[in-house]
Amino acid sequence: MKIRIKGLEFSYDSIQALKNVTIDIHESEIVAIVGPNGSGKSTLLKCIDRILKPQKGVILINGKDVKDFSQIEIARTVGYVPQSVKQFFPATVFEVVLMGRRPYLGWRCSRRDIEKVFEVLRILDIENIAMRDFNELSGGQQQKVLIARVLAQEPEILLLDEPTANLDIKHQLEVMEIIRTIVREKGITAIVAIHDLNLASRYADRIIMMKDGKVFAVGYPNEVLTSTNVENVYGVKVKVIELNKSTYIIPLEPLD
Amino acid sequence: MMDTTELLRVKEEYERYVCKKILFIIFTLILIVVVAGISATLGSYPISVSEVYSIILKCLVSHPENTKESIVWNLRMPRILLAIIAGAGLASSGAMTQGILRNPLATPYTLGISSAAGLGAAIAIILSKGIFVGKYVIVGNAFLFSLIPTFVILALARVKGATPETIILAGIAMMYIFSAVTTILMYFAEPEAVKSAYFWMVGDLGKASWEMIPTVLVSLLICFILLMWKTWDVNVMMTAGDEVAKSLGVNPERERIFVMLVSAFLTASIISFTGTIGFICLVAPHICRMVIGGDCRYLLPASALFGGALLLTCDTIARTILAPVILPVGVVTNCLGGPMFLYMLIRRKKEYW
Repeated sequence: MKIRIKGLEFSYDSIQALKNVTIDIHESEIVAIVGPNGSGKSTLLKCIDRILKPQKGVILINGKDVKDFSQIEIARTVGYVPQSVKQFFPATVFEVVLMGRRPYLGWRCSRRDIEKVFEVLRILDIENIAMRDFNELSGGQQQKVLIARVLAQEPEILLLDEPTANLDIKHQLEVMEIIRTIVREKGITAIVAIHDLNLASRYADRIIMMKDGKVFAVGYPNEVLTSTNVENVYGVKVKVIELNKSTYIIPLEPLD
Repeated sequence: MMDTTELLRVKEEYERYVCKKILFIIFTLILIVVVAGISATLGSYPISVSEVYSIILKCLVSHPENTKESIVWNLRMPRILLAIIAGAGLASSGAMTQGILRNPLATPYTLGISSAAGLGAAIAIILSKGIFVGKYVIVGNAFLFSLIPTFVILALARVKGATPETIILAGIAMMYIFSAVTTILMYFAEPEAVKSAYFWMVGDLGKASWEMIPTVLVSLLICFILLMWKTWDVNVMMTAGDEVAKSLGVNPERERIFVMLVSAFLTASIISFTGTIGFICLVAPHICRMVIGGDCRYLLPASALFGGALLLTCDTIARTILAPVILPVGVVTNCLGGPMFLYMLIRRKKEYW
């Protein structure tokens, strides 16, 4: 699915989080959104999924304004994985993933929904923890469960907010590999807000770099991740190196 | 294949888990029938268990003919039924309120319903001293007052958004305001009126009669069905949080308000008859959650049935432990509920909050 964002503006009570954001996102690509804390990455994702309502501008999904989608339509089209979750009551992994079927359910959940849950647990290779309590899992396992939930939702656009935050390097790579596999196999579009520039560079087809609620640069990883761009946006002196056809950023020191 | 056997094992485990939930619900249902039978035999007039069941079955179709039948049917049955209905209603609203507010300590009472109902009853009791106090004046007044905090919260939510934090804080503020007004009222009232107002607030099933059963039963059934209808949405809000709930096609603020209104109405319609019986709405859902987990589709019916059995047990103890003195059931639920809750907290295996 194609997404076209035009002149998007969003303000929280007193802070303007998005300023005139205009981006085109193509079909079945992984787009990474990078930028310092507070640059509007999460806000942009939430606007696309209509969790937040922008004050100005339009978001078109395959040419249709998201405002015109019904609640169920948008739930079936766009899936969102939040940054962090706090669970207050006990819930098994199975129950958490089953919630992803909500846009398809009447009151009863059918055999098919249950099979679907087992299917996605299997894809992520976490069926062995299906009956464990979500809160007892490690951060990496929890992240996989949340991805499983969004897969059970069968969306055509996948939005992930910092999916690799708080994960060890193996889990970081695993999660990114999973996202890439899903995007390639199912032909869906993924937009990933991410802090790790090197992961973004390795896994994203294109990168959107944001600063102060504005789009600073858009393009292929090697075009966007230049030392001037990173220095301007993050205020950090970096060294850029090429390794195995990927661009890697090595932070050196903060600039004042 | 290693993978397929693993998948089969997990599927079996899932089936067993679902079975366990259903078995628990059946168990609580049987528990109610058994405790009701035992409860009907106890009292100053001894009647055996088998006699009780045959009298109940007989009176379902015809009127009671002798003293024994009359005692069971006209004195003990209404009280037993009111205990079951009240317990079920309080536990259901408790289970769902905890869910929508994502807070294990939240109950309809946290939303100020109990103290508002207390003020309503106190006004009816104290101000109508000397005049004939129809029992329905107290019931009606308690009911009307108990809905006030809910509507205040509703109005506030329109301005500040229906987040769990707003609702809980507004509810607690309301609780203090209503208790303060009640205290002022009591300070200037006659001792006798104060005493009866005070006992009203403890909660008692002694006023049970057949004529109040249809009202509370209909209210319970309608509200229970409405709550059951929302169990999926509450599950989503509970396990996923508001943002993801929106992403899954659930409007968390709208559903939260809806469930809060239904729970408040159900609680109000019960406690205006019984007084503010404590602890059932907090304890019953937690005990059920510890046994069968948090999925509201099972938790709600289980809590309702277990709450009914629990309040009936407490009332049976209240009637018999110091016989011929009959304690208000609220005393027993608090005395038993407190320690029971502490015990469950110590014994629980999982971290909940």
